[in-house]
Amino acid sequence: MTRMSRWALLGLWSVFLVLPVLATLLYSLATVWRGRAFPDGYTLAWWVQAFSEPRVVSALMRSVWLAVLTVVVVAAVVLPALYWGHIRNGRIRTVMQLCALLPFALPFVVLAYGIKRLAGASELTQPWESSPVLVVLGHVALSFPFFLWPVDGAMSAAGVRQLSEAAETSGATPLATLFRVVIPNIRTGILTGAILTFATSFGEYSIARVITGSSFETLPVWQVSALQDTRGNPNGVAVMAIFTFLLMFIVSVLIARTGKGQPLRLLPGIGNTR
Amino acid sequence: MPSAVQIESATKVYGSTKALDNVSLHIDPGQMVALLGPSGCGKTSLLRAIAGLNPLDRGAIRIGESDVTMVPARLRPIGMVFQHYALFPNMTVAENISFPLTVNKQRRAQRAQRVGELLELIGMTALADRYPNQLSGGQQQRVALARALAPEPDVLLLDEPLAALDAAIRNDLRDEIRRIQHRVGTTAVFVTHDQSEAMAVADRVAVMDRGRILEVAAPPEIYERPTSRFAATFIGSRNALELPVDADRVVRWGTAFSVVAPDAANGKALAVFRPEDVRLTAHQGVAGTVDVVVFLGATSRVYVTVEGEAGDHTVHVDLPSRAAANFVPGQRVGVVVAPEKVRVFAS
Repeated sequence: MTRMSRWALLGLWSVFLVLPVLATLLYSLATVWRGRAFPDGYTLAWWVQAFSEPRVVSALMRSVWLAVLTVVVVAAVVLPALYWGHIRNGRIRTVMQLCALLPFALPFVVLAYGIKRLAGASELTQPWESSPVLVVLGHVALSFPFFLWPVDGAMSAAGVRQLSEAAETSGATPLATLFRVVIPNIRTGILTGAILTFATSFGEYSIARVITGSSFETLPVWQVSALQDTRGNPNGVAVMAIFTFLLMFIVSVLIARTGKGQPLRLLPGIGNTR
Repeated sequence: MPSAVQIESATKVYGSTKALDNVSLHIDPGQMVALLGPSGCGKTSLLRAIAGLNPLDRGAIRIGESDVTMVPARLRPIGMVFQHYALFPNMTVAENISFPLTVNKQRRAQRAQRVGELLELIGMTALADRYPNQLSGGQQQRVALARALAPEPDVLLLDEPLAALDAAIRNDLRDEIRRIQHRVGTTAVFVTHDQSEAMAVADRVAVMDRGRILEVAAPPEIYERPTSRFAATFIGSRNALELPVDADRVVRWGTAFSVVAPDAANGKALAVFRPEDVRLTAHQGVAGTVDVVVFLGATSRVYVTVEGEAGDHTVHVDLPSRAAANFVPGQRVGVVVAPEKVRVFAS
């Protein structure tokens, strides 16, 4: 392939990726946009309006809390299990890897109805049938693979088993081993997993919609209803889409930057002898 | 003198294989013992049992005066060096060495002093602020050694510490480990599959096979007079000939040598002797033909094939290179071995 055609392909690919984001950004800033390449005029009114509308702001806050809670629960469940799988019982890893495929085998809507029906099946759980707690559970089940994969990779790359044994024979308690040795050496994996989990939960529509109906309106639920409503606010939807995009983008860049200035984490003893 | 480390009837079973089969071993204070054997012989299992990383199924381990059989690894008075260094990548050289002291809540000033001493001991004071990935393999293993020694452990455990290094650095670091262990005076256990490494580094060598210790002796003794067949064939590149036992219970290799067979030998016995104990003559002993002469520097190795009634035997003979220059392939020679140099085992 020649140099020219490579650049041309890369250019086309960038246009494919960037154009929708750019169009959404322009739409969120447009006064009116009628059948031309660029909007007729520009305004910040949609941004101001969106962020001063209580319904939007509370949807945003709900989504943030939902996503943060999901990340915390996923980390609390996956991290210890995976660590144990690495240092003692490798079978745990196999089981987790298999479970991680399930959310991709089932459509999210099916998963959501399943959770709802299950909760409605017993007297004890019925009060929770349309509770946001169930949404968190659903999001945990859905998004944990995105935490599992990078963290599992980071643990393998760091050789956590050997590092743990070295810490143990140095006299470190299990907690000291975890916080001083293991976590610092898989930090990039944890951060990557956290942002992916956050993004999955933050942008998820079906589970939130099916389980809570409209009683717990998250940002995606609001966005869909705003688009369906003829008196809705499509420019406001664009504002929130861009806002979400920027939020994720900035956090991703920050995470990518934390890896720099630190020593490369290769497998101890392999590939780093000179 | 009480033992520094005392292992009694240690047994460890994985599935259907016995990694450790009723192993007992006593180590005197200040001694370096090498656990030597092929892979899967149980040497690493024994080391990890002493460390507390793999608990025993049966048996007991004492370090100094105290029974540590049930004590977790972090509370045992040990320091451990791993094959692949296992330095903490997120810490500098100084922080790595200081880690055991930090988790033991030593004071900062005390820690700094001890780290300084150790950096000097391993000759890496200038590299204190480097990260592990900025060091060579040999340097990393030195740091790992310093980290293991930092809390002044009663026992230093080394798990194939040289196996991941280049041949050129291996001997240097081997001698340095020995020098440092002597200087510090700590008791040490050194696991290796390399018999010359074991001989060079240890006060005593424990030869292991299939979960058991076959014999424990000082290197010269194990080299000169191995008492087990396995040790005799595993250590050094020996000649091993399967020979018939006579009616008068003598093992005879033509006119080369004749020795009394062990009681257990029935029909056949294995005669083992070292290549440097073979004498090549003009007419004495059994007749053979020189196959090839391999030049090894100070010595040369001469391969001689001897035709016998029970089939051909090829033996190798180590000679000073000047003496070996007298032999050329195809030459007829006589082979003689002094009977006291031949060890005979039941076949």
